[in-house]
Amino acid sequence: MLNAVFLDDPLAHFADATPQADAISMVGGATSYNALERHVNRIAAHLLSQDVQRGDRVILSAAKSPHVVAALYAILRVGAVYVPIDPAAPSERMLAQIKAVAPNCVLADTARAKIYADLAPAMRVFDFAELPDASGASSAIQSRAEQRDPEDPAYILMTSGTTGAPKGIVHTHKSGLAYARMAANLCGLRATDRVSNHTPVHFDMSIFDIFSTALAGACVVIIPEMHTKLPASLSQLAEEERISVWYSVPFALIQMAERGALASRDLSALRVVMFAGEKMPPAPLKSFAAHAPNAQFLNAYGPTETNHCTTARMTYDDLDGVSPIPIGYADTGVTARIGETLPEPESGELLISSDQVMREYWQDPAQTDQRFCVLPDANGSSKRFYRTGDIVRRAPDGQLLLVGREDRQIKLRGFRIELDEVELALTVATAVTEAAVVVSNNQIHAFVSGGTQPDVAEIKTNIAAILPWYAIPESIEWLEQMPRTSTGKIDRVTLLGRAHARHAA
Amino acid sequence: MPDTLPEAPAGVLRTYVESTFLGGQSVSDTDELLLSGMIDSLGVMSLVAFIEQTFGIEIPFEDVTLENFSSIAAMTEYAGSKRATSG
Repeated sequence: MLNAVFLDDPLAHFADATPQADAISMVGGATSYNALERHVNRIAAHLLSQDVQRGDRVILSAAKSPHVVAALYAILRVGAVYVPIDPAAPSERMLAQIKAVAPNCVLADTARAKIYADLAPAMRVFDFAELPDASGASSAIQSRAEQRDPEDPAYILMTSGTTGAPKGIVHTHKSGLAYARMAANLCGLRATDRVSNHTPVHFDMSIFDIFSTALAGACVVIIPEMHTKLPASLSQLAEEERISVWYSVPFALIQMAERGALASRDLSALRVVMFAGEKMPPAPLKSFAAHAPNAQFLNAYGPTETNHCTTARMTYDDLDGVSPIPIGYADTGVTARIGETLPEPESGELLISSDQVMREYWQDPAQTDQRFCVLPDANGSSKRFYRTGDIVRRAPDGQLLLVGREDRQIKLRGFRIELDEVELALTVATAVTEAAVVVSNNQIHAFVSGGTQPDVAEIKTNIAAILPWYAIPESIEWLEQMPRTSTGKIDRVTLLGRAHARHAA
Repeated sequence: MPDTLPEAPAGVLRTYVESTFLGGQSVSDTDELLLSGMIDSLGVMSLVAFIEQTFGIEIPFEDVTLENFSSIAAMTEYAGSKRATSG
């Protein structure tokens, strides 16, 4: 594969090697590698003219579009750091994130540019649609690009920690590219592939969509926000765009399996279906898989801090619709171990060492130190490991199984309970497709969704056959659909609020 | 003969969308509702249920698409044609 050093190198390479090949497709139009490269340089020239320095943070906030992809490449090219902010975030959250990274300026679409101008009047906000055509700056861009170091920060992904305060996960060109390359090889990406971009750029899964795709000179198919809310349109788009490599949160596949009219769709172009972000419930995966005859299914695991770093590979025949989906084996270039002591315990915290691990939490050395430890690897040399906080165990075949979050292992009335096991039991023993449990006032409260409203008493009877009595939820509430975060994961904070409210009532 | 349509179907829908999703903000019949993040996938499902009830129709999954649900105008047209064919 291409010998790239910076995240924007593959783009420059294919703009030269296959200039007319599609780099981006989005309903109604394609952007060639050559056109994208020129677009990137126009934005880069503007950033230079606005005195954006190497290492400066630039906020990127917009609905998905080819502009967004061009803008993030431009920020990288001038040695700055892109910080994507959820375009639909509430304004306090936007403000807190801006404050946390002290950016040079904001790049946004027209709708967002207005919001930011009101929100942070002192901030310089540029609307993509109104950037001047700054040409003739190619030598300046070139010389800036050459000053960069592969270990420079490239992008910062913001998460809100348990306290709600924004935490910035800093990835470098080197860590981002290490991941992009690993994942491109893992999926065997080639120039003829059409790779979905389902997740927004403030979510780490977009790194695969954009940069792994570019490493292969393939085409990224941007899925407009509207399609992600309409499963029947989503599956139609997958067919029409002839998407060959799919990557999304489980929710998108669950939605398509339930309401995507898959019986009338031809998804034969799909050769890889990869999912990550949270646990994939086994039943809807199997029903989706029945409609993707040529696909391999990849369960990708990894916190934003490490990028996706373990993978389980399955075909339709491997899916029984009941067994939990493993997270598989450590990917190439990744060292995974369980716990800090040797020999490895049967189960424990998963530790990850790899070039694709983040550099640090933005301006937070205390947090950074807390999450890393230095341990000898199998050959006795010291390595820096990231503590994932996820409890795993090894199956007899060596695959890793995710037991749950460290903080999802609770003790109630003296009994140890894995909340994730309770969730699995709920989805296996009943007709519901998804389950989420939260703990409030020392009681387990369950929320389930999917199918038609089931009889709660029946659910309780069914799971009593699987779970010990002390792990049976106090309440089970059926929701027409789970509340979701902007990245499509189950919104557990909202569920917790609901459970609290029940007590208050 | 099916029941008569609500007097101003677009108006009924607009009121519902404005009060349920937009906190009372106003929206035009041709605004792209799903573009702005105002309505998420959960919202789409309640919208579908509302239209089914209001118009007395059943909406199959394969009809919940951009063409039929992108704006109030699109939804009104879809619901109207659905009533005509099912009646």
